Formats: sequence, C-alpha cells, structure tokens
Amino acid sequence: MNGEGKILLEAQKTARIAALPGHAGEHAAAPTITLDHVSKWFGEKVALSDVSFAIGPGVTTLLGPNGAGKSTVLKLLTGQLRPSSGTVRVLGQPVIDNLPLYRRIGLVPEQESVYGFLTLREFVELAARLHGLARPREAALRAIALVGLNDAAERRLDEFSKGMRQRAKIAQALVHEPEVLILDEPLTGADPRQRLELIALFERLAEQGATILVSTHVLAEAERMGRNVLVLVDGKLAAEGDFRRIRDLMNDRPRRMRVRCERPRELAALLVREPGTSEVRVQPDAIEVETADLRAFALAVPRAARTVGARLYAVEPLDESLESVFRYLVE
Amino acid sequence: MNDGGAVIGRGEGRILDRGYQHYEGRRYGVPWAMRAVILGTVQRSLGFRRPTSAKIFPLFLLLGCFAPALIVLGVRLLVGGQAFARRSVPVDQVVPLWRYFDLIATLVMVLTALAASEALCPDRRQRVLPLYYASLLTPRLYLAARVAGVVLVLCVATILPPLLLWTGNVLLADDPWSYLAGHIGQFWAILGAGFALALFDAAIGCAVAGFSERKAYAAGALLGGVIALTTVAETTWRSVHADWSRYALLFAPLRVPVGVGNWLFGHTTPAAVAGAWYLAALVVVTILALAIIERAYAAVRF
Repeated sequence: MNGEGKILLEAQKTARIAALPGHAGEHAAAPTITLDHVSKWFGEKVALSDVSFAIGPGVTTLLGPNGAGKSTVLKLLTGQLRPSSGTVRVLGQPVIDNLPLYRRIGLVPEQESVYGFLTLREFVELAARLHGLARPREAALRAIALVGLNDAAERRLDEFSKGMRQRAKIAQALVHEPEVLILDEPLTGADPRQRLELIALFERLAEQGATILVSTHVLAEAERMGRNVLVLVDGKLAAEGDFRRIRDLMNDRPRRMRVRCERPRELAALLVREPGTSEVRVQPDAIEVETADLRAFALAVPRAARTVGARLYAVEPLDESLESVFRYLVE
Repeated sequence: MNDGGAVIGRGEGRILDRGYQHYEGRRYGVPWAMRAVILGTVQRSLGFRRPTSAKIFPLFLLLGCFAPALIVLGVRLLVGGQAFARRSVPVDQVVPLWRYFDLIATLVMVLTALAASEALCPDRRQRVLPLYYASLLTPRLYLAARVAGVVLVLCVATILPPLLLWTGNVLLADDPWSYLAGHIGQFWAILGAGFALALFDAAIGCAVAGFSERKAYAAGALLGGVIALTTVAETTWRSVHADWSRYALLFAPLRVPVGVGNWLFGHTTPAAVAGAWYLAALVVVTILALAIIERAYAAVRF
C-alpha cells in the first residue's frame, strides 16, 4: 500500500467502523472479540502495530499476505502471546492465563497438531478431557459427527488424509462447544466437497451465535465464508467490515461496471461523453465502462438507454470481488 | 421404513434423528485436565495403546528394577531362609533395602530417558502444544502435569520393588508382627528415598527432553550427560587425594539420590559426605532443572 492509500484509509476509519454491518453497527453493544490499540513486537521486529478492531458473532475472515501479522493476532486471541501494548479481550475478559475463558474458546492451529498414534475418537476425547468435560466420549462422538467423520472415528490419525486431519482438528476445537472459534487456515488440504461442507458448518455455528474468526490467504474461500473481513498489511489493520462496502470506500480508484443491454454501440457512444468515464468497451450484448464517478454513472445509464431506445438487462460491478479489494489494499 | 424394517403406516410418523444435541454433561476444572495429561503421560511412557515394540523396553527396565526383590523373595519362598545360610548376614540383609536404590539407579535413569522424552518430545514434534494451551492448562500447568506423570512412572520403579522386598521380609519373618514393629521406619524410608530418586531423575530428564523434538536426541543427551558427569565426579573423588574431592560426588547425578536414600535409611552415604549435603544437592538441582524448563516453555508458547 502506498502512503496515500494508508492516509485515505486512516481518514475513513471512523465512518467505516460505524457503517459496516457485522461490526460496530450490528454488534456494537456486545463485541465478542476486541483488540484495543494492540501492538506486538519481537525484539526489533514489529509484528502488529496499533491494531484496534471489535467483532461480534458471525464469521469474520482475517486476511493478509504472509508476514502481515495474522498468526500473531490469533495467538493473542488464544492467550498464546501477551501483547507488548494495548489490550485484548474475548467475551469481555482479558485473555492471558484466563483459564475459565479458555473453556469458551476453540482453536484450530495452522500446524499439524495431531497425534498420529491416536485414533480420531481418542484424540477428540483427549481434547474433551483437557476442557474438563465429565463425559468425554459422548462429547467427542458429537463433535466427530459434526465434521462428518463418524465412519473414521476408530481409525488412527496417521492413516488420515490431510483434509481429514484438518477436520479432526476442527472436531477437537468444537468438542467443548465454544462460543468463540479461532481457525487458522482450517480448509488447508480439504477437497472441494469437504470445503463446502466445512464452510456450511461454520455458517451453521455462526447462525447459532458463535463468533468465528478464520484466517486464510485463499480469497475465494474467504469470499464464500462471508462478507466480513479484517485485512492486515505489514502488521497494521488496513480495512475491516463488509468487503463490498470497503470497495465503495475506495473512491480514488475507478469502478468497472458491465451494462448488459440492447444496442450497446449507441449506448457506449453516449456514456463515453459522461464526465468521470475513462474507458468504454463494447461487446456484442454489453458494454464495460470504467468510471470514477459511480453516482453520475448510475444516473447516466438509464438516461442514455431512454435516449437510444435500448432495453437494459443488467448493470453489475466487475471489480467488487474480495480479490480486487485485497489487491487494492496490499499493493 | 424404520431401522427395524417395519413399514410405517399411512398417516403415522416417526422421528429417527433429532440431529445434533448439545453436550449437557458436567464440566470440571483444571485438576480434571491435569489428570488427563498425567494419565496420558503414564500410558505413553509405558507404551500402552502402542505397538509391542514400544512396550518392550519400559517393561524390561521395570522388570530389571523388580529383579533383586523377586529373586531374593523367590529363593526364600522356594528354598527357605537356609538358602542364604552360608552367608554371614541375616537373611533379610542379603539385599539390604538401603542398597536397593544403588542397584537400580542406572536402570531408573534409563527409564527416565525413555519416559521423559516420550512425555515431552512428541508434543513439540507434532506441534500440539497450542491445543493444550488453549484448554484449561497454562504452560506451567501442562509442564507440572507432564513431570508428575513421569514421576509417577518412575515411582513404580523406585518405590514398588523395595516395598515388595520389605513386605516379603515382613511376611516371611519368623514373627511378622514384631518384625513389622521393628522395621516400620524402613517403610517411610522407602517412600522418601524412592520419591526423591524419582523426582530428581524426572526433573533433570524433563529439563533435557524439553529442549528437543526428537526422543532419541533427548534420551541420548540425558544418558550421555549423566554418564559423563558421574564419571568425572567419581574419577575426581578417587584420583584426587584431598578431603574436598569427596564432595565431587555431589555433582554425580547417579550418586546424589542414592546418597539421600542411604541417609534416610540411616546408613553411611557415598564417600561419607553428610546426608544433608546430598539432600541439598538434590533440592538445588531439582529446582534448577524445573526452573530451566519452565522458563523455556513460558518463553516460547508455540
């Protein structure tokens, strides 16, 4: 991100936090995860720099390039690291050495994190015991069922595929029914069908009120898991909230729009004259327009269509994907 | 059709699966979680639920620790006390209890190398520490549970065999009640000496194993270090003809807990160094070893 981009985002921060759904707007009264001016450094290396955010129930995706500080955030949230400055609170409580709080948090670490010599049931049972559950087998079998591995419950983990191991890790994180789930690259190794099933599981848990923070670097996965994102770049929070709203705030960059219509050539001739239009491409049944003034464009399209007598079929953004937002924030 | 194969009649209904139900059982606290880790350590160290190859070595070492007691008691049972009649010592002193710890000290150290490395190394190698730390355990509690598990395993080797010999001596005595009354102090000495040996070995074993991801490296480093230190200390004591040289034995890991044991039994300690010195060495080394490993685990959480 260049300096201009950082300044722009900084200036937008207050408005952004107030406006974004799934964050302050929806959950301002009771955020489940809060970082308040948190910094973390290791010797001279600054891993996180003055990061603040608050998220509530639902799925939120933590995005960022390698080394952006994603894992540091997750470690801070699970009490694995102590912040160098600032405060971290989960469910309203400080995290470090807060054992009662750990009952309410589930963690899926990025690393391998399974004992190959145990069966899946034994592994999840161990997690249940570590969380103090008096009926560990019962709880383990429920969690195993949740991730769809009932048939493999008595198989040793060293016989599992990578995707199955991921699901085993998710099962151990769910065994004590936590209110907050911290997932570090949870879909690594899962095949497409398993990914869909796991994403559906996360959505189901979120609907039941869980707060799920998922770290990933796969943008397509992040987009499927929900709209709410936290984007970290170089240890700083670059953006947060609904990525479509973040795209709206990127008003220093032209928007690319596709208009599916009749008579695209005539319509293009009118739209190219509009102030703010920087590029128009004509296709057989549509035109693609790049505009710096979306508001003027929205008014101009129906007016131009009326003028040329063309019927409009669709007006859709081409660069509202998470990828375009991410590229804008990290470049 | 339901599970039993009966066709459900028209207008009837049946719920076969109510779907996911929340866990409603009791939830316990930290002791429950620590108990799970301690039991897991014992099981892993002794090779439970593992291939036969993992069971053989600890079983062999445990048998070695029991061997003196089993042999003496077995011969007494089969042949009677006259089997040892040609020896000039009383029959219950063929293998004196205070000597027992000297006899098994090396075997116990080898068992320590196995148990401590099995307790700590796989967790680092498999990178499962975050799962423990995200449960009801802090790094300190996790370590305490792992060390306690190793101590428990070692106690099987350090307390049960001399206790078996002592019990046999009592039961096979001409007058068991009066023998018991006269030797009850040995019971407490066995507990104290056995626990001291187990705690000392477990502390230094875990301190070494806590720095390695590989069991073989950890076990090798521990045994190599112990042999080297003990050799240097013993050589110093034997070759340097000065009064201070006997205190070199306070740096011999195989000698220190034995010295404490001898002292608890009221017997002369190795090189006639006062028992309190051995006890002090044991306490200092144990605390140092535990502090070193605690710092190491607290510094790098995962």
